[in-house]
Amino acid sequence: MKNFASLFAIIFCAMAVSWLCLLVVGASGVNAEAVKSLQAKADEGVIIIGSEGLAGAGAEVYREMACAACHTQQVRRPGYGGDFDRDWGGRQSVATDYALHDNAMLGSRRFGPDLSNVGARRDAEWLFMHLYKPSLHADATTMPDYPQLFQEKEFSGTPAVNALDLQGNDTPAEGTEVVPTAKGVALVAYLQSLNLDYDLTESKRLK
Amino acid sequence: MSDTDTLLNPSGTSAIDQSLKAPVLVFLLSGAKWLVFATIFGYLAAWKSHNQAFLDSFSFLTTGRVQAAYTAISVYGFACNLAFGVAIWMMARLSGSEVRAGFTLIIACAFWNIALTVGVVGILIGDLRAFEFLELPAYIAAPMAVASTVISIWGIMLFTSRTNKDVYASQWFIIAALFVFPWIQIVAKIMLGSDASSGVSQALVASWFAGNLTWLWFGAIAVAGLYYLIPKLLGTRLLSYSLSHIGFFALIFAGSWAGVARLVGGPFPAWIITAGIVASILMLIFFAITGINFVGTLRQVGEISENSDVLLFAKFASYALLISGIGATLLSLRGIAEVTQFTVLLDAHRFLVIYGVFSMTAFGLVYYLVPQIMGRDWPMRFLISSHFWMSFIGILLIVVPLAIGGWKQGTAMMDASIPFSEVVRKTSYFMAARSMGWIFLGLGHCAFILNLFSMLKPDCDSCIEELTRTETEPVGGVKS
Repeated sequence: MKNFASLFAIIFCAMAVSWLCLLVVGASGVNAEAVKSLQAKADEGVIIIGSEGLAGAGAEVYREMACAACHTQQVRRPGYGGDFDRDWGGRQSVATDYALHDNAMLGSRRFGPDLSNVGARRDAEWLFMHLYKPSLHADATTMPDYPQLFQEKEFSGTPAVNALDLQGNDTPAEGTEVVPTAKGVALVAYLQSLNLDYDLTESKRLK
Repeated sequence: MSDTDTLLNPSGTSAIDQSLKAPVLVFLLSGAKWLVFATIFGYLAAWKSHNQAFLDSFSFLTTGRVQAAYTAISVYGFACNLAFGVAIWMMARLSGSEVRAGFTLIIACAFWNIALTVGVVGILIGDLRAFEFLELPAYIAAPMAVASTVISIWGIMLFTSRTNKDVYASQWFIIAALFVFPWIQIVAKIMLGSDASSGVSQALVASWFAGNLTWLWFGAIAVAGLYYLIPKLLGTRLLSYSLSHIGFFALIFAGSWAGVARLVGGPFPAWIITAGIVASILMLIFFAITGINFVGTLRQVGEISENSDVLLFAKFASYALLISGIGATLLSLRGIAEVTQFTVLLDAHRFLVIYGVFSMTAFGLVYYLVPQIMGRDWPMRFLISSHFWMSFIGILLIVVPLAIGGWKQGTAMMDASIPFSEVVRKTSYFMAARSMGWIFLGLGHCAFILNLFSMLKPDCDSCIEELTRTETEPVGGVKS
């Protein structure tokens, strides 16, 4: 490796091979499989929708607030890790589950539970309360509060339908209520759209 | 490997150093500037991981954004600027060639740092991406790729115009790193931006990028630095230097596959994961050979009189390379990854590689090279070993608790009978130790920056003096 041409040729080969195999063949293979699986579902008359509309806007909030720094969205297969036993999803998540998402935010750290199937576990009210003040549900949580996703406003007559039902020290002042902002509403719509409640040929629900 | 580059060309060295002075100092000072912010954000991120209420009423300082900003600043701000600086310096010295049109490097450096500043602000206002090491917003990927391409071309040109007949191992590793770094940035930019890559293939691209960035950019520059520093400082040949070819092949062929092993258990075809694991195991060849070359040589040689403080950094990095290399292979195995995946043990490992191996080597190189291009010794020599010991304590306080805490976190997550909030509580003591570690690292960084600035101050003073003198001179007087 005394001359530049041979040194460069070796390095170029090494990089070209890893790129071609993993990112060209690997990635396009994964995508093609997912499209085939979605098509098979569609032939059965089942249309799987990704995060669209309000949920799609919520996916952007999820990305912006960096939720993926602490939460994953991938359920490992039953028997591998505790994902299945913790009821994070009734089945393993597969590439098809993400095919319709512009941003697949799989995450790489778990300082909070996995959210692949959070829409099946929690209702909107619980999610709003949790985003406002996670310690209302679990004392030991390390999740920060997200007051930015809410606003306190005055009201007269009946409170808004989505006003938070806050008790004790958290009760807002007389005549005011805490309601989610547009971003908060979108984020919860997104979280509710995260649901593994359908079977795929390559991954069937086990519970 | 010997001192031939200085012996063959004793008069040329000063001309080379003269041509290197401005560009290399600009890289090092940019790195030092980012180091200040990296320390602040590193501490903030560490503190927020066990004290979530801290500063969380500001959207731009939410936990996830602070972490992303810390990664961007420490990796692309501090570490990359230092990597550019030391790579250009080593390449020029080993090739015996002067830097031509050095201002191009300075412009590229400015471009890189301005783009990065925009990107960090972007992260804080919410334009971040949800991939490890690729948190920076997409809109600055192109300027950064262009800047690093220009820097790489300049580095490679130093090699192609070399006057030294011999080619050293350091040069192969630098050439590989300079090719790989712009390449992975361009691929990630294009593949993450195109429609073809939706869904999980984005995560595949991101893990490939992370693996290459870790081992073929930072790893390769660190190894080049150690191949340069250890024989220079010890004044001896490296043990089994002839094996370095094999190590180089193992790194470039296996290293660019190893990153995808991190996807284990995820929604990916099994062959991709298996290929990643096999590559991680093959990387043991590289770690074994560099281990023999560096650790083996260091164990043979006793005390040295000159630069013994610089050697501390190289010594630490050599051991850290061996440990983190074995660690990387272990963490890729399916049985172990079942426990360690998604835990802070991965943070401990990442920190050990990028800080313990790369940054420590880079600090050592800076302490070695700056006196040579400035033509004088460090004004506060004692601060070098202070910096080392502060870093040593800091790294131990970060890596050891996070490794133990990560293992506990992983085993607790496996046991579904333990509620998740309990799992997190189990790690909080270990997270608190990390904050302590950051205080020691910060003290070390103060020593480094203080030394660097007092080293450069006489030059700055004379520079300012010259500028003010020119301004006060009558306008017509200077024309000839």
